[in-house]
Amino acid sequence: MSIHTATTGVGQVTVEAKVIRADGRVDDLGTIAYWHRNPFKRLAWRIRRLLARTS
Amino acid sequence: MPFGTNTCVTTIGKAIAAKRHIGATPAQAEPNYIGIGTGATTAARTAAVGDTALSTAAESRVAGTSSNVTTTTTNDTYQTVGTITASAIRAVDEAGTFDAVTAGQMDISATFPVVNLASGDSLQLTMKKVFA
Repeated sequence: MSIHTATTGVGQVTVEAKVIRADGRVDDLGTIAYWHRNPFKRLAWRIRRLLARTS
Repeated sequence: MPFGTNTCVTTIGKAIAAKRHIGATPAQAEPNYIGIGTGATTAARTAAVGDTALSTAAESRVAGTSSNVTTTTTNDTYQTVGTITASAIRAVDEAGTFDAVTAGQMDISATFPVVNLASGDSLQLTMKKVFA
């Protein structure tokens, strides 16, 4: 038998944004800030964001 | 540290989550107040766990609508959604959630590329914290 304690913490934090213009138009900016416990997922998000900006 | 895009739960935010476990009516207030700011770029600040406030807060905080939503497993995510209307031209580059409408403690800190708002424009922010 092994002693095991499950650990739970914050694994991901995201901030999503929408700008609602005074004239009613809506600009959906999507996820504007992202953090994941896994550094590879953080890197992947940054690369995707960079590609989206340059395309 | 120069300005950079990031978001995190602050060290105080971890304590907020822990304190919310205590009692049927926790003494710790819910961190559902959303604030925005315009000073992260100038302050060369990237969101970090030691943050306690925005660099330059703009507009009044709003009480977000909070709920539990599902990211990976059922109800594993705390979400708060709030909309803040700009009373003047704003270059928003930081946001946070707090446990009070003024002052209080910061739970989530975020810095991001500038979102330009004209007077009368509104910014709807959805802040999510996934426990996994």
